[in-house]
Amino acid sequence: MAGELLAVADSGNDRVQVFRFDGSLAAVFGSRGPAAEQMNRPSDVAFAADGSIYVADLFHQRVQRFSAAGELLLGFGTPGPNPGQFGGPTGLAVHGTFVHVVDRDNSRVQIFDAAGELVDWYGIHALRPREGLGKLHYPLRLALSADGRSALISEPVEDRVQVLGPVDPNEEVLPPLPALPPSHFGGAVDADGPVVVITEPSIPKVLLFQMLDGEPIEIGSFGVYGSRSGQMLWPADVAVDLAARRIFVADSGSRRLLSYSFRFDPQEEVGFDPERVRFVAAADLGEIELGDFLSGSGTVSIEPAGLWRDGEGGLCLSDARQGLVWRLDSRMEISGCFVPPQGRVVLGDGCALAARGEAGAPRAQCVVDGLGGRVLELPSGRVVASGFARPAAVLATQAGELYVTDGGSHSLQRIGAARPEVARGPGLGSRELTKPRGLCELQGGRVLVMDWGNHRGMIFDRENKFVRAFGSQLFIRPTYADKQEKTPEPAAPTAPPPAGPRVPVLDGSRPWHAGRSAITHDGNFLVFWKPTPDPIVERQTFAVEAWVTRASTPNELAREASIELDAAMPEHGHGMNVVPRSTVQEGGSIRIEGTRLHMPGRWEVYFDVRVGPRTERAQVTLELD
Amino acid sequence: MGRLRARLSAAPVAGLACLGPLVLGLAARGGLRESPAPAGREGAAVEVVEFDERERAILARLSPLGAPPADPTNAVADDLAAARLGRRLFFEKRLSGKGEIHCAHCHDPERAFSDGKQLSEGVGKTARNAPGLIGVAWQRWLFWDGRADTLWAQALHPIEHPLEMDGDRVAVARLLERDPELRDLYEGVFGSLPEMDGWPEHARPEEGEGALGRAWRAMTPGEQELANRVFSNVGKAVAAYERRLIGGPSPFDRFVRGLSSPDPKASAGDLALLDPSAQRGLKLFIGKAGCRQCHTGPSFSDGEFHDVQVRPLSGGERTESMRLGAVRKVLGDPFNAAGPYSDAREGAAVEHLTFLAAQSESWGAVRTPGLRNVALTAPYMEQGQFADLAAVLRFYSTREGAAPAGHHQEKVVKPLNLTPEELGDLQSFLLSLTEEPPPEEWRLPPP
Repeated sequence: MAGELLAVADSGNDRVQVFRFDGSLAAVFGSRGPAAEQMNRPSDVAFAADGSIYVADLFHQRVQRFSAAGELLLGFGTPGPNPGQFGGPTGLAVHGTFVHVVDRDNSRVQIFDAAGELVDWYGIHALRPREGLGKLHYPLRLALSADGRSALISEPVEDRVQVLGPVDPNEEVLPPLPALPPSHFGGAVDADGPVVVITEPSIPKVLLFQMLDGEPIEIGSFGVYGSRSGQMLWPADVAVDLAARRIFVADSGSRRLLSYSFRFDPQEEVGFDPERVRFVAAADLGEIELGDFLSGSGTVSIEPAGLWRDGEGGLCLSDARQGLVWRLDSRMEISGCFVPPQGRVVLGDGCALAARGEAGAPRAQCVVDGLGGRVLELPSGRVVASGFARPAAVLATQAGELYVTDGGSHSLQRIGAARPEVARGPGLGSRELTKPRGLCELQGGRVLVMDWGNHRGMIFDRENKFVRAFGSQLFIRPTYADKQEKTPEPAAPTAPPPAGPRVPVLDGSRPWHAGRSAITHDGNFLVFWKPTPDPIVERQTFAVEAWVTRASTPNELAREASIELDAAMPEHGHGMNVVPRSTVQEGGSIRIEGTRLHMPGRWEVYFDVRVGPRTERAQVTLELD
Repeated sequence: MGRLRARLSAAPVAGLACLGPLVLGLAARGGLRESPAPAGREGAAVEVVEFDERERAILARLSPLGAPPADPTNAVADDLAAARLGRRLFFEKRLSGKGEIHCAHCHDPERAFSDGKQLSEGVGKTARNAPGLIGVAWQRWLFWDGRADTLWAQALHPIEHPLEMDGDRVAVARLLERDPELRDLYEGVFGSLPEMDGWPEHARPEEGEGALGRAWRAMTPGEQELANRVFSNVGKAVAAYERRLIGGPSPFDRFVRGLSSPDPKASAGDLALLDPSAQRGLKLFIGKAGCRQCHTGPSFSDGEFHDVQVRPLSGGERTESMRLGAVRKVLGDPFNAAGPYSDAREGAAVEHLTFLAAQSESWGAVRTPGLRNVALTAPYMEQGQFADLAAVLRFYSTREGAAPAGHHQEKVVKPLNLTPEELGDLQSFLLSLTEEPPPEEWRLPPP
């Protein structure tokens, strides 16, 4: 509030609205998009003394400052853990010419001056739940006293508010702790056979684990922040399909569904492989023609919340914005949707119910209605369980048991069991959880629950006995860490991965056939390309002429396709430091300029072919000496 | 050569007795055979470590140095008169606010144009180690964070920086106007100076209520443009001078020449310039130590930015975003290659800006320094964190004291776990990169 004005971060509509006290609208600005003046999930607003408005742009990991009329004055911040970077800016407060920004996943508040320069920061990550004294645990919002000497910080994970006051700079109040490499198991998880995938939304990364004698070993990770192909802003949920060697990521930040392939051979020695995962394709969910699936017209923008395999080779995606569940095939094409008979409800994660579908009818799915505190079966709408404070995820095991995590009561519950509570918190014990989220079933009927508030995963066996905790060592008690069971993993399915697509035989009748060729991982498109100068030399800017055809018709250009070129060094974990530009040439080829591979070594070069809302990747590997 | 010998021989590292012949060889121009051989190798013929075809191809890209890359953004980059003016300006204390500091204050010709201090001191103590300038013409980006994209634009920053020379562009223009000799030199290169009637005595663009900033804002846009033009010309003249700071062949260069020579007799003298330790070091450098990943090309720099996670001199956590923040600065610099003062607003230099990506992963990344003459420019890193080469090599070998890598940082640098012998070999090799000094005409202050 400032004077007679009230500014509201309209998160769902990606805009800011400013009202007068009589309720009339004074200004509205912002729209969803990557441009400097656009925003993606504004999480908080604050008036500066001069009437300008700060906006915390959550998914873009930045803070913007607009004039009262909505003109962009300043923007600062990039994703990351370093000073001046953000891991989820969620709260703002202004004092004098300074703005304090709650940097949630970095467990701190950063102070910036009017020019957006970092001035100072306070708060460090708590080592244990309930720990206070300036140690923060996922701080969310902030208020400052009028004299700027006290800060009120809310921490929903701990169900508390901390008041921080001034300290004598000569007196060391906080022990100087080394910066913790943050581990944010984001709460989304899925497993298939021995493979487990977990998201870290604010980093953003997806981690791949292989279960080995009851212990998850990290074997891969992927994720680059951004809106371009293969990049992600906020991976809300994941699903893994081992037989197809595919991982699907629901990116609520960019409103896309991303598909990745991964190498996995159960015979191989378990180990981390930086090149294990490849981006395959992306489907844009930002503009879906409603009339194709439901009565009504116009387009809707899907906001992915939960993603799970539907048990029939496809996927289900809960849509927090529309309050319904979409069905997709394995190519990520929407095939239909379930509308809860209750009307639009706020949906979270879900699961497929084993063997509850009628013959011929789609299999029944379960989904949590977060605000309604219940679990619904779809399409029937039957309430399967209710009475939860804030359910986050539901899991139907192969044995037919139903588990629900309830963040509100910090509990994992088995529906219908004599003693439904498997674990309850908040706390760090072996049967305690703090704000649990995602659920999945491991081999042998074990249940993995993401104990989000404790930065760890907890595994219970089919009798619901505690088996193991993994994740941040600081949140695992030595008393039970020693007792973690080692049980041999059941034999993993040994079916070989599906064969990748191959470039078809070309008849050489078209000029582009003379170029090098690559096929998209999904096998739909061929990319022909020719660099200038050829061969490519490290640190030398080169241009690429590229042509796209459908794989089935390599003699005919797919003129509706566009190409984005990108490149990365998977072993180094970095990409290029340039952004190439593509322009369509008269003959139908695409010219890409400004590409530069700035180091010798092993590079992957990506051709991301976009047709309509779908992007598919073809890639080549170059060894530059 | 006397100074060079003294410095090299004084290198405080065990296992470097081999440097004796190296230095004598330089001094005696091939008189190596008469010089004492390393311990245990008395009377041995020239020993050459085997370099296979691939390694030789790599060596061919590291040497010879060749001619410096052209700088079309500076029309007088290779103009002799401009270089002479630049040399005058480089050693001109009146460019600074109080008339006490010139460029050579921190870029001392006696120290290969560096200053030997951890943090350089101009008017005040800066936050950076002054890099040497020999071979600066090869640098693709300037400053440790690369916030200047041309040598001439770089030269302008220290003149006005409050902690460096604390001068101002209008006073610089006034100096050129009033000093007859400088005026002649300037006008001989760039044509007439503009009329400065009505200009303040001192002014520079800066935020806040300081007198210099206020005076600048009181000037008309036309006057500001003219002052900027003169100022950019000053930078171009200084750059024309600095581009001539080029050393002669180093023992390494002559070794590579010898290696590729078809005549073994003629090449023996060249090959002997690198003793076996330095040769083994070279092999490590281009091989398993991985140095070449970043220290590549004839200047031994990829011209890029990497985060090797050296902690700041003050200890504790790093707070400077380095390359990440500099990308924004260079894109917004009116003196960049694409700006109105550039003499080539298209071409390679502009492409560097056009496609430049501001990525969060470049937080903390620092420009890869070239390694030619590295033995002469201790201490090392952007804040002189390491006193000598041995400390630098130890850091890369063990990564001891490195700042923890965040999720976004690249993972180029891993502990090398080198043996003491290997560290010694690498250091021997680095010492062989010391070039013959640039000609006195350019190395010494004007008479």
